[in-house]
Parts: sequence; C-alpha cells; structure tokens
Amino acid sequence: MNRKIINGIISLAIVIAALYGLSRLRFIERSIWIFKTNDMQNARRGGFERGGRGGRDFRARPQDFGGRERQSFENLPDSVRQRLIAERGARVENDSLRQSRAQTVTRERGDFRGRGQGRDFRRGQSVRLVNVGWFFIVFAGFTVVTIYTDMLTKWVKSRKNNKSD
Amino acid sequence: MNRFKLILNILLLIVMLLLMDPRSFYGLEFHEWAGLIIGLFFILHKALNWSWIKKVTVCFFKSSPGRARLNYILDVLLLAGMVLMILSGIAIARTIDFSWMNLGGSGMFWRVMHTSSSFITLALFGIHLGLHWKWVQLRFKFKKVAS
Repeated sequence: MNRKIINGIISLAIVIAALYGLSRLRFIERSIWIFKTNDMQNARRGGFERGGRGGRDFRARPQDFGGRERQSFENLPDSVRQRLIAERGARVENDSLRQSRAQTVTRERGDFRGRGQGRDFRRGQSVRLVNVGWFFIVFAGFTVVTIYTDMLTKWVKSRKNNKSD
Repeated sequence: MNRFKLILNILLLIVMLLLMDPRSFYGLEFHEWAGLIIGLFFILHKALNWSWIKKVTVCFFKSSPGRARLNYILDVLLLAGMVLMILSGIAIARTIDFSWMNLGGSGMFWRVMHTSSSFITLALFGIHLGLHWKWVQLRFKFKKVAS
C-alpha cells in the first residue's frame, strides 16, 4: 500500500512538472505549427535559430528580438546601435566583426557552406542539458498519463465484466 | 535478445531527447549526424519486432485484439513522424551536404515541419512507452514474473 502511495505521489509530481514543461517549451503551440502554415513568420521568431540562454530561447520576446524591430535595429549606424545595446545591457558586436567571426567558425568546423551561407546557427558547442531535462519530463508526463489511462481502462473493463457475470 | 532490445530502446530514448534541442549537446554537427544514426536505430528496432508487425498486419482487420490494433496504429504514426523528421532534417541540414537530394520546398516549411514532427513524435514515444510499460517492468524486474 505504501509503495502505491509513493508511486502515486511521484506520478503526480511528474505530471505537474510535465504540465509546467509543456508551457515552458511551448510544446503544444510548436507541435501544431505545421497545421498553421499562415503563421509561419511567428514560428520563425520562436524557433531554435533565435538562440538564447538556459531555456529562455523557447520564449518569444518580440520586444527584444522581434523581426521588424531587429531589422531596423541592424540598419542603425554602429555608434547609435552600440549606445542602444549598452543601455539594454546586451553584448556589443558590429557587423564586420560578426561576419568575420561567422566565417572563422565555419572554416574551423569544416562546414560545406551551402544553403544558409554560414549563417550563425552553430552556437551550442558545450553541453547544456536544461532543455533536454524539460523534454525528458514532458516525455515522462506522457508516459505516466498513458500508464494510468491504461490502468483505468482495464479497471473499467474488468468491472463491466464482473457485473455482466 | 530482450536485453539487447532494452539497451537499444534506452539508447534511442537518450539520443532522441538529446536531439530535441540542437544547442544542448555539442551543437548542430552532433544533431545532424545523430539524427541520421537514430533513423538507422529505429529501423533496427522495427526489424527486431518484425514478427509482431507481420502478425498484426496480416490479422489487422480480422482477429487482432483492440490493444494490438492501438499499438499498431501508434507505431504507424511513429514511423510517419520519424520519416518526416529525418526528411525535413535532411532538407534543412547545414553541416552535412544534402543539397544533391534537391528536396525543394522553402526552408521555412521544412523547419516548421521538422519542429512540429519532432515534438509530436516525442509525445507519441511517451505514449508508446506507456503502453509497453509492463514489458519495461519485466525487463527491469520491477515486477515479479508470475510463475
């Protein structure tokens, strides 16, 4: 009996964590992107290619990195842009430096530089498993819900059979 | 054989989770190569359960129990998810040159397809594991086998 209670508590904790993980990873929203083809521009803004740190890259922050604002931001002169970046507390990097670094990284890694022309998508050389952990919890949540649904179905079936006997 | 299947399945799960975020584990290069290899592992997983697939396919509309049908439909969806995931991954690959395959379509379409299919497939994997939980319990000896 004790074991069942402990199992139940653990399962409940997993399901609650998985629900939080679903919203943190925007799991449902991103799962149905493909069915919302009209909304592709939004999808791009929220995708992996936007980058970020510690799981925050899954959250759309149009005020910081949004498409139009970012484009106009990049068109500003370097001096104005650096001042703005300094005010926001972000990293300062001018166009020429960014370009040369992207080329160096590409060459170092022996990329083929085909489609995308060496677009800087290669951040993440280190191991940072925060998001992987959240995916694991969501995965475990689906598993736990299935196990209990299965158990419930079997219990209902056996009860029906008992009644008919 | 069962131990081999168990190890293979655990490996599949770990690699699948590591692949869910390309930035999490040694960047895009690992993501693309491991994505291709996981496809082969998935085929191996299917090959190891080929007798079950054959049996249910033959009897699907006749005498298969409901549970087997549910598992079969789920497996077909998983297969479709894996194919879409790998195909879209090939279309948007950056560190491996697949341009010779000329898959067409916009990069945006394939990217959205890749994200959506991988998320849905992960959820299906979770359900798949849940439906096979007894098998896992037996393999790990969580549950004593009825003599």
